[in-house]
Amino acid sequence: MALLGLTLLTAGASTAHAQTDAELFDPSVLHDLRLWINTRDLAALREQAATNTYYPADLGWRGIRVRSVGIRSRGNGSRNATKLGLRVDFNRYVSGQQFLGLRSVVLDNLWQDPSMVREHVAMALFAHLGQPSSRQSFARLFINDEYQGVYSLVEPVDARYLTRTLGDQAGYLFEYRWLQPYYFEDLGDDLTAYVQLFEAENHPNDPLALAYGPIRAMVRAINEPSDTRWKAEADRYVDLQQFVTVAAIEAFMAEWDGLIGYAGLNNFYLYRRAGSDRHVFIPWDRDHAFHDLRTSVFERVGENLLLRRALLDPELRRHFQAELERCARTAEREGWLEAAVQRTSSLVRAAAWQDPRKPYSGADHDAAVAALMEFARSRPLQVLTEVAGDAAATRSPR
Amino acid sequence: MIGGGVIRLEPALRLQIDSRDAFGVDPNGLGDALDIARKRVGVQGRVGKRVSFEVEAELVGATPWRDVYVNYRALDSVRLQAGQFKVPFSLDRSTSGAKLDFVSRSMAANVLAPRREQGVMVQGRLLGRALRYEAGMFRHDGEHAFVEETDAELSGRTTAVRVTALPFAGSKSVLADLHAAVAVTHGSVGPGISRVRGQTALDERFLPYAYYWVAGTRWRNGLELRWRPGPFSMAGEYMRLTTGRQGQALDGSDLSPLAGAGWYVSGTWVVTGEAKKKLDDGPSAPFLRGGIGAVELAARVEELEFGSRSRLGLASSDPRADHVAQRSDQAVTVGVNWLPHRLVKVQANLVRDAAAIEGGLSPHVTWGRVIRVQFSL
Repeated sequence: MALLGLTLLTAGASTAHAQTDAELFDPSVLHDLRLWINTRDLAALREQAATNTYYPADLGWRGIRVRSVGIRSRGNGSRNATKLGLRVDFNRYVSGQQFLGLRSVVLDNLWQDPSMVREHVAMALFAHLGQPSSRQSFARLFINDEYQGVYSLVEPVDARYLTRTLGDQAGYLFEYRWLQPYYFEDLGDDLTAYVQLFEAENHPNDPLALAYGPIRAMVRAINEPSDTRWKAEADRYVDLQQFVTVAAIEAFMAEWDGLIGYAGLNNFYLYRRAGSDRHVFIPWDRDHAFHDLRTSVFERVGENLLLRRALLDPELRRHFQAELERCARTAEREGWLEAAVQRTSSLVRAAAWQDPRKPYSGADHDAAVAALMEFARSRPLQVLTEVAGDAAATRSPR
Repeated sequence: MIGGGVIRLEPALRLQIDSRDAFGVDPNGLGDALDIARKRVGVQGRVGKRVSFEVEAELVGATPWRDVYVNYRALDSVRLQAGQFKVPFSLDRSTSGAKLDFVSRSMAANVLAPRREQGVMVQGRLLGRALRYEAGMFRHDGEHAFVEETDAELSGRTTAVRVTALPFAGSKSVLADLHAAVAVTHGSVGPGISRVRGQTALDERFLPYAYYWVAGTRWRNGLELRWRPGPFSMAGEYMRLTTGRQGQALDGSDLSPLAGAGWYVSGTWVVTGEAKKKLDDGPSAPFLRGGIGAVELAARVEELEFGSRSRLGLASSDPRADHVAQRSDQAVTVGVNWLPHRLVKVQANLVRDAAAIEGGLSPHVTWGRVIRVQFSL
């Protein structure tokens, strides 16, 4: 019987392999994605949207029907019962089941972004600048054949993602959980304080000391009181160059809810390669990017202890300036950022207007896109000017 | 005795203390434990020659009332019983917990057989003692433990029939004790999450997160056989349970019924030589009274399976899958029972349990030992 089951599973998988994950995440296409779920379960899913309870469903895409997937509500600020944010797990009920090589996929409900394209453009910019970022595409989601609105189909940060972006999946992956404003203060010896903030995504059976000991050491190093020892200590546990690069990109994008968020750290994964104590930062959920054109690239940089200390180091400060300049030059080169906004917003506009569950109007959507276009046009020069000023100031003898 | 023997009362008391230890189980599951498994008090009685009754209450747990019934004997062939009592299905389930050969009942009896329920039943003996029947109608499907969900199924009225043959009863033959029976129950189940759950021999749950919605008809079929020649005994049962899943598919159509099946074969040997069927009367040479009491060796092999009737299509643990991935559990139990006195019983069981899922990796093997000390009056 086990053999029969495996054979059937393989047969199902072979149908799915007619397409590829690259096609699923093709950002130039507005996909149609379908979910079929029992009406009682759908009502319970909406009623219990605040919980992570799984429900069985079938998923359909381009004539492929993936059976027995598990879906659950997801999101923090975007989590709601009207336009469900969803996580789809292909192997929740069928051991080993994958879809196009994926074990899961995220259906972002674009609840907090009237333009619907911020995250796409932000992740595209991260990727363009050589940083790890999730592949994304747009989809019109239908549940039981009823149109639910425009969704972003997001590649989850998992083993496959790590292999694709960092070439390694054997290390430790943690998702940061926002509980209260946190800026890398030392939380003491008790590892459980870190367990609450950094949710382990793999190696569930490893001892706490193995998984979280290096995170505690990292935070201690960030809080190293000696300025002369700080950089060497911190660099043992954080890839400082990579962190400063990500922070610079976020500063260019006027990211409101990221590493230098309005309420402390938020929306990132932390990855530590196997056999190493150094962590890299993986951006996630950037639907608050391009928040306000007037935002200085140095806004709130003093709040985050890691960035504040990093920018006191002349070399890292120059790196921050250089990365900001690289962002601006990339964005303005042949109107790259403006074109990205134009391309993605054109793709979704009609579907966005028809989206019956969005919490904003079609006119709000158009206005948000227009503001984004203005950001794309004006931000590069603004940032270059601000960086030049900072460079001059930091070069000047005190 | 009251009223010059018209009313007879017999108090009953049972205390069972278990010590358990298991290896390889879910850390949230069994682990080490020392608990009072049963603390029951009750009274059995008789009023005149035709009326008997029993009232028994559990002093541990949330549902105190156990057997609470009245029995009226019109004829040997017609007895009427009303109240709360065990639904007539399964030899192992019908046997009092104080008289089991092992600390735990078989998985099949534990999971698939109904338990006590409120209802009425007619029973009697036919053809001398060669045939016995029980036929009852019950309010629901029998209480089931392990269910906390608010969406649990609402079982409707259940009918149960059991026919037992003792073809050599009354003879001097070595087969005089041979007992064979067939049983069936039938009832309806309203929409809800199935109350029937897989449970391993070490009390671990089969299904960690998938709960199955059911609606429709529930059937049970059972076969049982027992023979107790001299100091030996052999017993075996097979039972099967199916529960409909009308309207439970993703699109509201019907799913293949859930199906569970189980069997066991067990054997015992009273090493000290007492006849097995009279062992409940106590050892022939009690401990501290010139003997060591009665010592009995016991062994049981059993299996329990859960899945759906349909085996077509993708096997899944999806609660709304047509082909529910088959889960099976095989267990072997060996044990020693020591009865130092008529009122005292000490049981030690070693259990090897191997649970597997269709399409999964090799079975998950766990070992456990249980020691029970029982005092019953």
